[in-house]
Amino acid sequence: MLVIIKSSPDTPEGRRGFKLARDMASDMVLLQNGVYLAQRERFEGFCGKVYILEEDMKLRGLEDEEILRDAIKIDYDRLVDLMVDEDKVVGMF
Amino acid sequence: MTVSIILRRPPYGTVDASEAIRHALGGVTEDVGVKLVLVDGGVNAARKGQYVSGTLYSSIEEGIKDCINMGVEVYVDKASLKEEYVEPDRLVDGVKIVNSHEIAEIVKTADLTIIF
Repeated sequence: MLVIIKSSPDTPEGRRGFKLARDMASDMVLLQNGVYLAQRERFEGFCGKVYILEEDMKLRGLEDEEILRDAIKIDYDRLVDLMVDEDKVVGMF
Repeated sequence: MTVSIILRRPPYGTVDASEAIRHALGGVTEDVGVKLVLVDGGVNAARKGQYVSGTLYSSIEEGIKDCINMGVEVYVDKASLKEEYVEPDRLVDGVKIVNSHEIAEIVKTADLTIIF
């Protein structure tokens, strides 16, 4: 299961997507303003994999030391692969 | 005349940040006193190191710097910085960190307030 989040953490959509991913113990893809969710201080009790679109992360000036250490940086090609390979994709919040 | 512009949304995901900057620059070129206040997710607009190369975006970081250079007073809400986990040393030079009382005073003394 993969949950894709594009909304920033201060929006109902962003908060809902994160909560759903956490409650389902799914993996999560963060893109657009959703990349702000990857900040280390925001992550508590999440056990799935976290993928972050690197282009959107760099665009917003987020640096590696600010984000979750285990976050996996991906590009668009990898994003497509993830969506194709996953049995269920929930998106986009 | 003075105008306060409040930006609540982070850059690039919506048009809010670019529109706030466009309106701020438009104001100063017409000799309007403009104060741009970044709150909530909008504080991310003032982050250093926004890398737009390879995208079709115009840099919001450069837009904020243009505002400062053109005479727009740019303020960042201290509480929002904390909520958004942005350290003060990650902000572009020239922005002023203020508290909610100071923001209230900015809005109170402005002739017009525009919210993005």
